[in-house]
Amino acid sequence: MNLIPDVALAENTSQRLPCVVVLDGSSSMAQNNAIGALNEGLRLLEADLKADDVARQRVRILVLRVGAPDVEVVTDWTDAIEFEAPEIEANGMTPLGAGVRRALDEIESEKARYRDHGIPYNRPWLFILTDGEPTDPDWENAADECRAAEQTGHVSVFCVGVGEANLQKLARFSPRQPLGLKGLAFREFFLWLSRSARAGSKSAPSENIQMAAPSDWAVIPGRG
Amino acid sequence: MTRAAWRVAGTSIRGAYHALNGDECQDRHRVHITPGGALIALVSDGAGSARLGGEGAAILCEAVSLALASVAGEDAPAPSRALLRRACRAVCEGIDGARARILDEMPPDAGLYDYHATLVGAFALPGGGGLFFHIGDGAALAVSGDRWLLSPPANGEYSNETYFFTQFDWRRHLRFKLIEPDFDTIFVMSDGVTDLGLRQRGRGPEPFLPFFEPISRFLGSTPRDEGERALGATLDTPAARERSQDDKTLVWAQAR
Repeated sequence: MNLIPDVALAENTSQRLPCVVVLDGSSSMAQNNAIGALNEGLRLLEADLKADDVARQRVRILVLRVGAPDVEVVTDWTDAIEFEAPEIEANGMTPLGAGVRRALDEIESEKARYRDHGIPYNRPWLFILTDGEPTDPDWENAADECRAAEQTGHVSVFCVGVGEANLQKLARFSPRQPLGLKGLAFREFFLWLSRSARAGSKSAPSENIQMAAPSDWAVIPGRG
Repeated sequence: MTRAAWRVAGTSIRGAYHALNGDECQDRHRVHITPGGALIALVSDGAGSARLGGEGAAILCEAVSLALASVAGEDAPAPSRALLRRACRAVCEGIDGARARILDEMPPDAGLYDYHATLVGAFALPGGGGLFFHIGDGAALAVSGDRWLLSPPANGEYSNETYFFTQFDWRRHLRFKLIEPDFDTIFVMSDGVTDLGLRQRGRGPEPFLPFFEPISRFLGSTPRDEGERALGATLDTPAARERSQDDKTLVWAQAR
C-alpha cells in the first residue's frame, strides 16, 4: 500500500488518567489471607497495565493504605510503566475517612500539576476497598465530601466491599452503588480496572463513565 | 461555476480499539460540492460509549449536508454575510432535523444518547470564504501558505469527555468560525486525526503543518481514488496507531 510521503506526526504528551486506590490494611484483612489475595491482585494490575501500550502511558497511580498508624502513601503518584506493586500489610484500624480525604486532596494537586504543564487528563478515578467499616470519628463528613466531589464532577468514585464489609456505610461515599467483591476475586477486580483504563471511548460530561460490566468480580448487593 | 471548483478527498478508517472488539468504524464523513460550486464538508464521530453512535453520525451528516445544500441552491451563490447567516441557520435546522428523525425512528428501548456523535464541518465558496461549525472535539483547519485558521476541539476539563448533537443543550456547544476569503485549502478531521496533526501550545492547540502540507501536496497531484487509498494507509501506520487508537477521519478540499 502506498503511503503519502514525508508526512510527519505531531509529538504530543499522552493524556493522563489519574487513578487512586485506597486499600484497607487493617488487622481484619489478615483473616482468610484476604491481604495475600489483595497483594496478588496488585501484582496482576502491574503486569496487565504494563502489557498495554496505551494504559502504561496513560494511567497514573497513587496507592494509599489505611490501617496502623493511619493513612500511608504506599505508592506515590507514578506512571503505570514504572508502577511496582506494593506489599500491603494488615495491621490496625480502618481510618477510611482520613484516607479518602487524603485521596481527594492528592487528586486536586495532581490535576493542578497537569494544568501547569499543559497535559490533557481524564476524569480521575477513586477506588475504595474495605472489608469492614470506617473507624475514624469524622468519617461521615469525609464521606459527604467524597460524594460531593463525585457530584460536582471532580472524580468518579467506586466503592468495593470485601467479605463482611458494611456496604450501607460504604454507600455514603458515592452516589454510585457500592459493589461486593465475589469472595476474594481481587485478581478479577484489578484486571477489570486495568482493562477499563484502556478503553478510549468518550462520553458526555453529564453522564457516568462507561465501564465494562464488573460481572466476573462483583456481587450486586441485594442479589446475593 | 462547475464541480471542478474544488478538488476533494476524504477517508474514515477504523481505530485499533474498534478493530480489537470487532466493532465497525463509528466515524462518518460527507463531502458535497453543490452545482454552484459551494463546498460542504462534514465529519461526525459517533461516541464509542454510545450503542448507535455510528448511525447518529450518519444521520447527522446527511441532514446537515442537505440543509446546507438547499441554502447554496443550484446556482453559484455570491459570498455575503446574508448567505453565511442562512448557512448558520441551516446547520441548526440540519441538527434539529437529525434529532427529530432519530426520535421518530429509534427503537423503543433507545434514547437520543444512544446516538451520541460530534459534528465538525465547513461550508465554503471557492475564493469567497465561508464558515466552520463545530460541536465537541475533532477540528477544522483552513490553510493558505503559512497562514492557518483553526476550529479547535472542545472537551471541557477532561479529555475523555466531549459534547454531542444529541445533548439537550447542544446549541450551547455549537460554535461557528468565519473563514476569510483568502484561504484555499480546508481540512476537517475527527479526534483520531487531531492526535496526529495538532500540537498543544501555551495558548491551546495549533496545527502541525509538516503533517498537513505533504498530505495536501499529494492529494492535489493524485487522482482521488488513489489519493484516498494512500491517505487511509498513512493514517493507519503503526506510528499513527500508537498515537491514537481512535477511528480516524480526514477530509481535504482545495479550491482550484
